[in-house]
Amino acid sequence: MEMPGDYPGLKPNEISTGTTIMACMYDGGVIMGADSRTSTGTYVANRVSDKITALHDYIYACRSGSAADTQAISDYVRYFLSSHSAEVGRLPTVKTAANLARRICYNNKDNLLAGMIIAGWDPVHGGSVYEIPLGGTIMKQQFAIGGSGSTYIYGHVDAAYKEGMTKEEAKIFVRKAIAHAMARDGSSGGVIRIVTIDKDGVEREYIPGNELPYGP
Amino acid sequence: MILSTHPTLVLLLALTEPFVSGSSTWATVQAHLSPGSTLDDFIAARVRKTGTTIVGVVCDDCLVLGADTRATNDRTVADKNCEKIHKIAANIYCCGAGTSADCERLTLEARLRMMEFTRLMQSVHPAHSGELSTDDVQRQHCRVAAAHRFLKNATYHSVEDVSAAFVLGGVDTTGPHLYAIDQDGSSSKGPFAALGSGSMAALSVLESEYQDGISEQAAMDLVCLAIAAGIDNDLGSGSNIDLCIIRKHTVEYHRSYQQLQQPQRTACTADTGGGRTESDIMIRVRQTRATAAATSLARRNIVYPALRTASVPSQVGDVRVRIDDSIELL
Repeated sequence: MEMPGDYPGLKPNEISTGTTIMACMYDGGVIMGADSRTSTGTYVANRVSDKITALHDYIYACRSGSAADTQAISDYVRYFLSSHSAEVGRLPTVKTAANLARRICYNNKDNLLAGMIIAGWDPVHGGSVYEIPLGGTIMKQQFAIGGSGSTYIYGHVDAAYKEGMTKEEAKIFVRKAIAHAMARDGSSGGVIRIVTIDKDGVEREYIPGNELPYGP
Repeated sequence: MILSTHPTLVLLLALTEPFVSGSSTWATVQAHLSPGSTLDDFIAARVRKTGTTIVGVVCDDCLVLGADTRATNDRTVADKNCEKIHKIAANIYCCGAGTSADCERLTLEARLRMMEFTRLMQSVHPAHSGELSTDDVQRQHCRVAAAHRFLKNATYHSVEDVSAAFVLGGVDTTGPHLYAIDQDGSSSKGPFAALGSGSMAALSVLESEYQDGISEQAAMDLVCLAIAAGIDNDLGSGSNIDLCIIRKHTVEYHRSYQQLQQPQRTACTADTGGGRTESDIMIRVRQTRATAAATSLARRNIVYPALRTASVPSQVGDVRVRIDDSIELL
């Protein structure tokens, strides 16, 4: 029994991060954003979940799809990435992290339901954003949106995005887009979590549900 | 909790491919449903969660876990006073919801794994052996995150075979931690959690009453209130409330902290002759199901006395007690 907003292929009552996730590059780093609602059908299993998971010190992943599958994939990628980083003796690149996730998603595409956005900063390429939708494609982009709520904001992000944004502009861009998606998508809600990654480190913020820049 | 084959369990096995195609899938499922069930029962079974209410609340420096004590076998109460709070380590306990066999098995494996690690720590740190008890070694070295990692991976990798959800909590050297591991193998961490069929009732209590920095006594009251809400409003939960308070250096495990339903053993034993235990009565009821005459004997001597002391409308077999305490034969 598929609920509106569920991904087709989700088992009945499987916990889905039917969600809105987003990442945007700016000069010097990336901003990642996500809502915080995890649902089982029409029941909200966790209203304050954290969908932005750390894969390494400067590399994070936004998760959408089946919560169990994406948590398992993140765990595998975190493990491989830490071994790889220890072996080469430097920080891993975001490209490597994204490709590790992509290999798992592509080679197990029949058994997984995972849409991920891998973003972060590395000393080789600076800030990068990679999107891995269902099926295991990998796409490098300036900004990426994903999850069930993203369908409502394609037009908005295309209109609002500008090349060469500063950190503050990019943050406003991400916040506004996610707030709009949360207003229209039933499977997205709760708080907006924002993670800023640049060469100086990682900063986590959240915007509570009653302070959204746009709401119902 | 479910002790035997249940539609939901079969569904987890049968629905790895889309249901719409393939009559064989429906035939398989239909073979397991009770005769006379319709598509509506099938759909209802798909969305029904397993009978239990389990709850956990984090305080400043301690953690309170609570559970009801009813184990169901479809619509029969198989065990009126079962234990749903399992020990993983001296400082880590876990409430289980779902198929009881699966909960017991997975928590046993987690317990064994933590014990292996404890033995390793005892051999690696010679100062510990002899001086510190095993419990103290566990309190020092066992981490809730480790138990969570193990239990979550075990659940995720056997998701097609098992049906179990856990509220796992403990206090280690980094403080109190509470995790909720769902049936499909995903997990979340938070200040409070509720799982099982009574979770919605319990969660509504937790959402309205929980405060950050709640005291230990207030948390115990809150957990009892939440489980009571599950017991009152969910058919799959019932009987008593078990409570487990985990602190930095001690654990208080209250079996039947609150008894919401008095056990009816006294009425049964008095009527059938003194000295009989509950298990004798269960055996006798099973045996007397064989013949109609024996059935009516059982009804007269066992079922009626039990129902007469029932304080809530209830049904045993085909005999029902109505709200005005009259007994009706269906």
